[in-house]
Amino acid sequence: MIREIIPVSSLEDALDAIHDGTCLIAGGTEVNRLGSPRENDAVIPIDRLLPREIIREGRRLTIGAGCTLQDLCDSTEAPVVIRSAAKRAASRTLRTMATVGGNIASRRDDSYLNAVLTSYGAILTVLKTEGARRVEIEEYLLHPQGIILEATVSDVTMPAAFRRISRSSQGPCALVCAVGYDLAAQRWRAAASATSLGTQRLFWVEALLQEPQIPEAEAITRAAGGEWSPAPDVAGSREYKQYLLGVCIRECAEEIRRTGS
Amino acid sequence: MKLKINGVEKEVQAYPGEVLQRVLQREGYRSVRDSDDREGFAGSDTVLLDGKPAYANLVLAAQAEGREITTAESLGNPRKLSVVQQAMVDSGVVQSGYNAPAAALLITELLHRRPGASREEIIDALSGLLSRATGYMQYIQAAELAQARLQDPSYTVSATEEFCDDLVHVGKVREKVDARKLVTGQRAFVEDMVEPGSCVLRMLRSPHAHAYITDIDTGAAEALPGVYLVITWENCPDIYYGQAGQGFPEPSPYDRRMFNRKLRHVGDRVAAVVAENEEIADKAIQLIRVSYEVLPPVMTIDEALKPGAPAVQGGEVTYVSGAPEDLDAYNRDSDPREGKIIYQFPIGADPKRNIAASVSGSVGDIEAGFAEADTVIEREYVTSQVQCTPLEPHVVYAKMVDDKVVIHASTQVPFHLRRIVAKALGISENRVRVIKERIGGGYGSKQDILLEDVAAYAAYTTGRGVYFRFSRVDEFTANSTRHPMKISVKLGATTEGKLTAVQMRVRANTGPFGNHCLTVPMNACSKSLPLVECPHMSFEVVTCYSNIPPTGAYQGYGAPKGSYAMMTALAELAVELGMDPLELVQRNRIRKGSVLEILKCLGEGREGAAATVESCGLDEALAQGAELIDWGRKEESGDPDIRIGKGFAMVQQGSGLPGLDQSCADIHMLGDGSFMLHSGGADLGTGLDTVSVKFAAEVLCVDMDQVSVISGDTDITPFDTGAYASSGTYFSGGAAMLAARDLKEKILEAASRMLGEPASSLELRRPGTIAGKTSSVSFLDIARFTQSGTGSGELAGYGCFTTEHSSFPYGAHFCQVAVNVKTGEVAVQKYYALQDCGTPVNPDLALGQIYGGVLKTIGHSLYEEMCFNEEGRCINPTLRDYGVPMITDLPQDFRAKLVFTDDPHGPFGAKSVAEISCNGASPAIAQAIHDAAGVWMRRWPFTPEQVLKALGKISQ
Ligand SMILES: Cc1cc2nc3c(=O)[nH]c(=O)nc-3n(C[C@H](O)[C@H](O)[C@H](O)COP(=O)(O)OP(=O)(O)OC[C@H]3O[C@@H](n4cnc5c(N)ncnc54)[C@H](O)[C@@H]3O)c2cc1C
Ligand code: FES
Repeated sequence: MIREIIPVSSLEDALDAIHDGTCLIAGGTEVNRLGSPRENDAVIPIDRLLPREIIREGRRLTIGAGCTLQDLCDSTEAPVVIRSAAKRAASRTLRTMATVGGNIASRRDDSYLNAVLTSYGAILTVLKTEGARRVEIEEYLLHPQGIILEATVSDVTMPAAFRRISRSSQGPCALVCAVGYDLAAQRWRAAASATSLGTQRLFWVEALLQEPQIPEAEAITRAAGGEWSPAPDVAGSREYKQYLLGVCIRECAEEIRRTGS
Repeated sequence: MKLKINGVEKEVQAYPGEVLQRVLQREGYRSVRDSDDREGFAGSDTVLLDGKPAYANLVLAAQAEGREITTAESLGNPRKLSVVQQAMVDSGVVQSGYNAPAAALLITELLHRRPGASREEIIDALSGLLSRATGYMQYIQAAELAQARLQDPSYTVSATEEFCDDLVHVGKVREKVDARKLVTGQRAFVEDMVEPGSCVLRMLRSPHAHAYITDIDTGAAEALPGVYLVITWENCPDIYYGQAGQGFPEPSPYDRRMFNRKLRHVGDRVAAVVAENEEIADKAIQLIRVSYEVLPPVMTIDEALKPGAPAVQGGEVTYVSGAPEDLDAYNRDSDPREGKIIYQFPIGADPKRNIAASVSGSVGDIEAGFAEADTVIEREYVTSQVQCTPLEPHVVYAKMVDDKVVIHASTQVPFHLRRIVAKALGISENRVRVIKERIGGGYGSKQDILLEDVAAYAAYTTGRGVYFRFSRVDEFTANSTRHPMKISVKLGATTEGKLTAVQMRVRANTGPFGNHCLTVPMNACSKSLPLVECPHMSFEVVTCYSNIPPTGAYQGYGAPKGSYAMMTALAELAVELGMDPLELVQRNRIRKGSVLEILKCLGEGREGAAATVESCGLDEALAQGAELIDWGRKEESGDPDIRIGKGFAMVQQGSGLPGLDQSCADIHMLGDGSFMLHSGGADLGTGLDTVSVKFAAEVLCVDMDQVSVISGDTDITPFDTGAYASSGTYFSGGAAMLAARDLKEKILEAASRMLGEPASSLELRRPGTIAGKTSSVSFLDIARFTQSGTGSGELAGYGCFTTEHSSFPYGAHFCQVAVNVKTGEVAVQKYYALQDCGTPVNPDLALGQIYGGVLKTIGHSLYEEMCFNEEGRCINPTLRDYGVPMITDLPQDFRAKLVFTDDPHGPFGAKSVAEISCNGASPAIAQAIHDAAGVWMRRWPFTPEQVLKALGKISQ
């Protein structure tokens, strides 16, 4: 059980209160859940302090970290791919509780949002001791620090697609992968989330996708053998996940080519 | 702190990090329950926070301060239901009811947020709610009904077909008698009965799959203030018993004591601590020091049956009757640390070689049958270990009242529970009272005595109230599960598709103990072989002990696995013969009048008898199903990677166990002419109490509200073998009908005296009047007359239902699947279950049972799996990781349909309905996958990875 609650009246105070044995709490769905590593922590509630708007300015989309996943699903400002990635997270009840900031910060192995935001090249605004800083999402996922205030996607018209493979609709997934195409830079971006690896940007996949032809699924799977090695678990074997990565990346890339969206 | 709950500001006490659910429970908001120890999956703890759904287990009470908290208590009460609650009751969706209040809250929130919600929006709104009992379909119907009534309060159209024009209650949609109480979240379940000041019991469980306890030191735990008792193998009663709740003498062996020196699975009982509260109990558990001698575990059927494998149950064997002559020699080198095994009669066991039970039998000449065949195929099918996952985990509250142990139980077998607890405690049955409370889901697993024995002993020893509730992890390690099986089916047929020989060999894994070790695997044969007519049939069953978590009864009781093997093998044979599988089945299936000779060899531990099929809806079920699915028409998806296929299965079950089961009931006329029915039956949410009330009201020509029922209380109600083997409606309902008939005779006799006319000239008329030639008397008059100082005494009727007749329910399930041959994903697009349950007594509840049974087996076939590591520990002991289907997994088009037949032996023509529903999905889906993608799925579950392996896309 959570040991103690540390009330704070500003995010700066919240930042000051973060030490070993304390943690932030927003929606609470990760911190309070069964088996949470934060079980014995003291918690710093920030749910009422975080920005909660979803703002579209031209092609730029800013998602407040205090938005719930359901807010994101319901937003007409956000692109369909981001909305549907948010919608894949478990149930509506969970989505009305879980925040975008909490989901990113949880760095779950099965995060749809992190994979999709990575494929969009999202930038996070993070409050650190030195002030608010802009950090690429993949950088944050590698070195999580500070309080996430918002996530920004600079071009929501960027074509993107994502896939999630699991046995049942809400069961553990074998693979989440997302692909985007940065029209301005004419570059592909690819990311995947899987057990033991978390969400990773797949530079080696991006290199393959830069070829004139979309690579065959088998070629991606073959390359995954040396580059991307998720642990086997109840959702499937390593070989199966690597196979799926090939199939799903190719499907996403084809979808992007086909629809341009 | 101050919380605003249902519009009222309340001062409440909460620990700093306490979650809202705990606080609300303490404050008496019973509707906010928990099914998964804060996993955030099952949704039994749903509340609204500022009008939005939230899991109260995942919110700190402190985070809810200053917010509007809404619980289901705000919606209505049993006397005045809200529109949504009433729609749920009218749709038959309130069955086990454990999270029915949460569902009511979610639907209410949806209809408020989105009047005119679509089916997709209803599914989305309910996506955070697990329901195992009724397969979700009727939740959608309930939401649609509520929606229609909100727009037009007079809207009454029921989605459910009714039956039996000549009857008033039977075959009609009526409120389930406990539905109002359940949907409004009243005091109903064991957890609601716990009295302040009671102790909790916590179990220290084995970390090893196979080990001896070499030393156990409980001193420090016992010395902890607030600890009242620590029970281990050293101080528990030295009495052997079995945990299977079956009729005495049981075919299952007595192969355990309350605690054993030998541990036989990860999660086996090592020690129980009874303490003032959970914190002290948990602390005490940590203070117990145990040394183990770890033994090599045997996990699979092949490992267990390998010559020289370590014996899981290597103890001394005794027989109450029928002991073999060489028993002394057999027992010569038994290790006393292994304990003992007592058999009531021989069941073909050889525990030293890990054989828990075995049986074989045949009709005709199987070899001659294969010699006659033009085509012979032999295939093996493998099924996995799957969980019942009731929303309410196993739970018990035991206390002493004077010198009696009173057990508030969530059990399917109150009378077997009384017998087994009395035996385990070494006291007589009159000193044990079992009160069956409402059951939040059982599905077979509450047929076994998994925790009541220890709690009862603890209460008996300490004199205190003792509460013991399994955690979800306990459920995954210590609850009964479906036996993993390997079933090989060999079929011979002529080129015209006539079966000449059918052979079935079942290898089953019972795990550490022999609960149901003979009968579940036998059922794999006895519910599938009799589906076809063939002169030459044989079967062989071998069940082995192992160190997997325990197995036992699970809805369908072996039949879903036998049916998977048998029906898939028939489909494989059809392909081999170049024949339509439906045509092959039509040429060989049984019909009304068929004599099922094979049942002679399939008695459950006693001699069986051939049976004649006296009612059979297979003709209609197969015909209707084929038409609905457009059988024979090949569907195309338009995407070369998505292949569409169709499959079907015919299914059967029994209706209780003729010659073994017995159900009794009595019914009393009260002072105003209303009635009190005492039924021994155990309604586990399926609506048995409603069946009993309907039968009594039908016989006595009164409205259902004139009959109250008390059931499953061993001090008040007469004996009943319990709710298993599809016996509820047939046996327990039958007993209520007989009791009412007996009372009717007595009412007529009394009226005859009052009216001065012979009873034969009197007529019972609705509502509750006896009409003679010239005058009439009401039930009120009769009650006053018989209960007066000169009267004959309170009128009461008694019924005892036993039978030698078998009434088999039948059915046909059809499905259409889409297989993605690139990813291996299988989507069930259409599923139609057509079922003959004789007279559908509660048609709405019967449909719910069918949907629930089908969805469970879709889960078992496609998603669910208990996975183990090398040490035998279940590595996915949560509902999510295990893979239970949610509403978001429903087939796109899912229909259940009742095919009416009038069974000559069932009460009002009824047969059973619930268990049979589990038998079709697996073979129908396997066949459809083959039709779509050309591969046979011969192993549960048919996961995308397995499909890809079968397609050769990844290595095996
Ligand atoms: C049954 C179940 C199934 C789930 N399935 C999925 C799934 O399939 N895919 C998926 O992606 N997720 C899934 N989730 C996870 C869920 O999405 C996360 O629990 C949720 O997004 C976390 O958000 P929260 O606001 O509740 O976080 P909290 O529980 O409040 O916090 C989570 C973590 O994030 C930190 N944190 C919170 N806010 C911030 C912030 N603004 N800046 C920095 N750190 C912060 C906290 O300190 C904590 O460490 C599932 C959860 C459950 C219970
Ligand atoms: S956390 Fe919701 S039912 Fe357990």
